[in-house]
Amino acid sequence: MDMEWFEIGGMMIGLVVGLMALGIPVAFAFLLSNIVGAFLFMGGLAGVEQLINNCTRSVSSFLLVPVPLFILMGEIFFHTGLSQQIFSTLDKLFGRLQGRLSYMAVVGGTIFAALSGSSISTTAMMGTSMVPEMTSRGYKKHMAMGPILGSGSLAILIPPSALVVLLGSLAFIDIGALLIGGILPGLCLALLYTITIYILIKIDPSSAPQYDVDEVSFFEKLKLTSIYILPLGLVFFLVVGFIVLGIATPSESAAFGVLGVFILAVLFRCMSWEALKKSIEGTLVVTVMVLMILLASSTFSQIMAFSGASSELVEWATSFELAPIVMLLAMFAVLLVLGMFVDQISQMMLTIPLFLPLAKSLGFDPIWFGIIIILALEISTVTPPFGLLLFVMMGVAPPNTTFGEVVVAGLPYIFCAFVMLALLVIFPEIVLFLPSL
Amino acid sequence: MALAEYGLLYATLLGSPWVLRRKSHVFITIITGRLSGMPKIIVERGGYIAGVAVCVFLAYVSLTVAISEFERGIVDIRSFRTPFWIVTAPMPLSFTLLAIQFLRFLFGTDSMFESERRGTEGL
Repeated sequence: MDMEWFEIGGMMIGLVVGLMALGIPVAFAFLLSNIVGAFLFMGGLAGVEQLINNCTRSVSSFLLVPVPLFILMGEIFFHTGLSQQIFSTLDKLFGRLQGRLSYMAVVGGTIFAALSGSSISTTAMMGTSMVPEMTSRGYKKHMAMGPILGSGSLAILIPPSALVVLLGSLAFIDIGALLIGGILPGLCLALLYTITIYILIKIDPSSAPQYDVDEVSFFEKLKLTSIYILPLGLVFFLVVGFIVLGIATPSESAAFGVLGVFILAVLFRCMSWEALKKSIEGTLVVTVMVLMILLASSTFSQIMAFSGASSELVEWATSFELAPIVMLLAMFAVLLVLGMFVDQISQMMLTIPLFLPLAKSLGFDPIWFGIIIILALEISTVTPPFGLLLFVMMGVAPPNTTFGEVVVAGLPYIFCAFVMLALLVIFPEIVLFLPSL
Repeated sequence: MALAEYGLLYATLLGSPWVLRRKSHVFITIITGRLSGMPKIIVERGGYIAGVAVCVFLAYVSLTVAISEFERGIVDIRSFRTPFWIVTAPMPLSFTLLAIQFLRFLFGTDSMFESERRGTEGL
């Protein structure tokens, strides 16, 4: 085929996005485009046979084992009611504090993020259990929904995170290092959220009215913490600590994580056959839909490379000799715009073949760059018009809530993520410190 | 290790038709969500037809690939040796079932785009 690289790149990306826009399931939009691409640029039917081989190779990888396991951790956590138990404990631990429920959402969201790899289930769970309580206490909508949207999206950044595993395996970045690299940025972001809530309350104290809570003695709090909160730290350690200490690979430590949550659920007497069945079914659905997209899109990057689109783009983009930071912002912007319309895995599959060689030529650290991508993916879950978490929140919000209100509630927390981006650019150590240990 | 790897592959491929039936595959409602009446029917049916076409084609090609691998006796060498056709075999099966499910959407009254579960499953 005699086409310029930008025609090829534009045609392929346009085809995938166009088919998706017509409502064809993402996986099948990729498959159709890849069949066309393989036919044109990879030698006709032989290209399609290569596509078949790529499909089977792409998901039969040991690196992907943590994906279903991390999802299973979250599912067990939510279906058994362990998560509810943590909430009621947190409720007792938080004293009489202005805006306590908003802060609780951030702390709860951070804890859930450290035990589950799914921002959707975290948001749905917190939305259903906290928004009604917040509304009845007279919280304004933005103080109720905003913190939940913000901290729900933390689950992507803080390990265990299935999305990080996918990114690592696609971009050939060390998955263990990438998982650990997300911890500090995640915590910093949570801190930024609490500062935001503090400022919002200072500006408008009536948005989160004070109310009386039962006094809980210090010893009672200590007891609750050691019974209900500390064991969670143990589960987190099974996943993250094992990787940091080099005892286990991410795939192995993910298995330990599942075991940990399972044992916790049994010890707290919330495990039942029903919950286990639901957890496994939920894991299967989510895993299949995620890996199917991966399988379907596996040939996409190869077509980009075969046709020369990837390398030519790098040459073209670097020919302007822009400062690396400008290039970084440009890539970030592309991710955000794409994120307004397509899901996160497609976002990665469409951009990684182009961005990764570019990042390499600019001399970016792969782990740092990976976390920046994750941050962009995280923001795009709450950007209109198609941010997934916005819809999840709509589903659990009080009946008279408009979509606009949900979007506005999320804005301050999107701003936090941009502050976080700036921090990561100025202090790359926030990402790189822990993996370097 | 190889068992876990093949497990992922088999689970994904064989689970996919079931997920399609549950209408849980990821899709974007940017246009379909705003249409109604005839245009909606045309776009939806067009999507199903594309789905059928893709799946039938891939089922056919993957079947020929699997047969040729079987005849040539190629093996996949991982932590143990596996005949390659066993790795490819779930592909034709999966895509045949997927094609059947798309056909059911195409000729049935059920719409893939009407799912109550939508939005609560995912990462």
